[in-house]
Amino acid sequence: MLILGIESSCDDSAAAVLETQRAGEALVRSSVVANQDDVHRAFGGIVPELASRNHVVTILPVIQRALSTAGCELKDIEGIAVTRGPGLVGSLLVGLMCAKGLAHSLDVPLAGVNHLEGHLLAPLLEHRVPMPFLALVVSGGHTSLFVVEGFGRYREVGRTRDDAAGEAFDKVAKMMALGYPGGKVIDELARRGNPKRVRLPRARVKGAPLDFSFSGLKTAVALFLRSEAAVAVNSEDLAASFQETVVEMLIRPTLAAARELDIANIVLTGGVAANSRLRVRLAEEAAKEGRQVIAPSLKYCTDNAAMIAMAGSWRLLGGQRDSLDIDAEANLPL
Amino acid sequence: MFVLTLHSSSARETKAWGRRLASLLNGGELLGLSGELGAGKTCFVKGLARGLHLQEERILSPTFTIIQEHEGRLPLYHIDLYRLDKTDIDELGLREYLFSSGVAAVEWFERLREAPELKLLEIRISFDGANCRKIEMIAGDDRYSSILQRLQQQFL
Repeated sequence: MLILGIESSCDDSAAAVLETQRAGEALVRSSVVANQDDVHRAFGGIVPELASRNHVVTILPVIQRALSTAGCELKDIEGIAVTRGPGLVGSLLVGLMCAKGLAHSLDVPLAGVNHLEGHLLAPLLEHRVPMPFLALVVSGGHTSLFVVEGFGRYREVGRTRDDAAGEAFDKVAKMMALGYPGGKVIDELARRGNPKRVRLPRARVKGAPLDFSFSGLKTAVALFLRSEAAVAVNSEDLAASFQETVVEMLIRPTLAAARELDIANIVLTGGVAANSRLRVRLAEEAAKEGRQVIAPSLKYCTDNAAMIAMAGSWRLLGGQRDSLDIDAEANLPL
Repeated sequence: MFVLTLHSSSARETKAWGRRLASLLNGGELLGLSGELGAGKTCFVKGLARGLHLQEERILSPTFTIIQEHEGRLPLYHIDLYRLDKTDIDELGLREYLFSSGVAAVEWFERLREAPELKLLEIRISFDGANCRKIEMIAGDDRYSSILQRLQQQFL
């Protein structure tokens, strides 16, 4: 079955063609992402109106490119998977309407997909991961631990109580006047810095060892930057110290969950999974306990449509389809 | 214009002021929160949520989603304009939230372009030493002045 995946939940318009015969086993024929960072960089953040307007401009060329790279045409497509939430409604609608139009005109089934399910199943694009597995989904909008028991069977066992880890990266980069997107800048600076230079608090959530909290850390960096001590510390050292703290705060609950639930395979996914230090440290710590960390390649960690096609594929293969009147939902629960 | 200045020496105390303010709200209020990153705007809203009989754990930073809706004693619309450059209420479809029968708490509300029809209770949180914060509440009209007077009488 050839599945066209479409994703437009936030900044990036993406399309992909996936070839699959069995749930969880697929060949990515193409995956194309038109990144809007340049559009938004001038504004230091996302501008919803700009985001949706740009999706309108980019979505069709992106789909066209996904098809040509995959060496197929629209008439070869046998099912369409599209993100219907969570995300910015104006942006979601562009992809969703486009997908509905295509599904209708091609007379093929449509599957509306939760963006988070896409992240959870992204590792299956490249690896065989036996279920159940534990997934740390960490991005600009999410920081959660899920147990993936099977297709469509996801249980959240831990989550952030305040900020997402990616948001902490972005906001700290902003405080340090490092620019946008913050995660990448901090990762690069941190490579040249001393992670032990600045001591920052590692908050735990009382009574909830599998939950995360990054708001206090953000405030601690704000306070540090106002203090006299800040003058003597260069950006590299502060970036490294901050990053090391976030990484430890992500690792502790993740391993605690793996132990408690007795799960050997840990998946690291979402935009922050692109962080080089997190990938290395989580793998090291997990290996000490005989656990394995599987992280998708960078192109499948950040928002992409191949993971959306993967998340829709098991339902489409099973003969399920959504009606053409499904709506975009900003806060769609998993 | 009625201005009430409060001091907080911990996140817990900031939340307590949010909770106390919530106890005086009847719905239809618009709260505009300002303050630097890490000042405690979301923390204040967690307190507000408690006061509206919501669990504060459910209040997450709305930076990514921009709008989060909660159903408490009154509906709470938690809005965050941080990621926006400048916006206006119609661009984001904010009108239904800002002129609702619930409580709208808007972080980084100063990024909203001038909208003279908006009357609000402004809450400015600023750093005031290591763990301390100054919380200034500024009433935008008589209705908010009377809320602040009651806050002062009951809790100060």
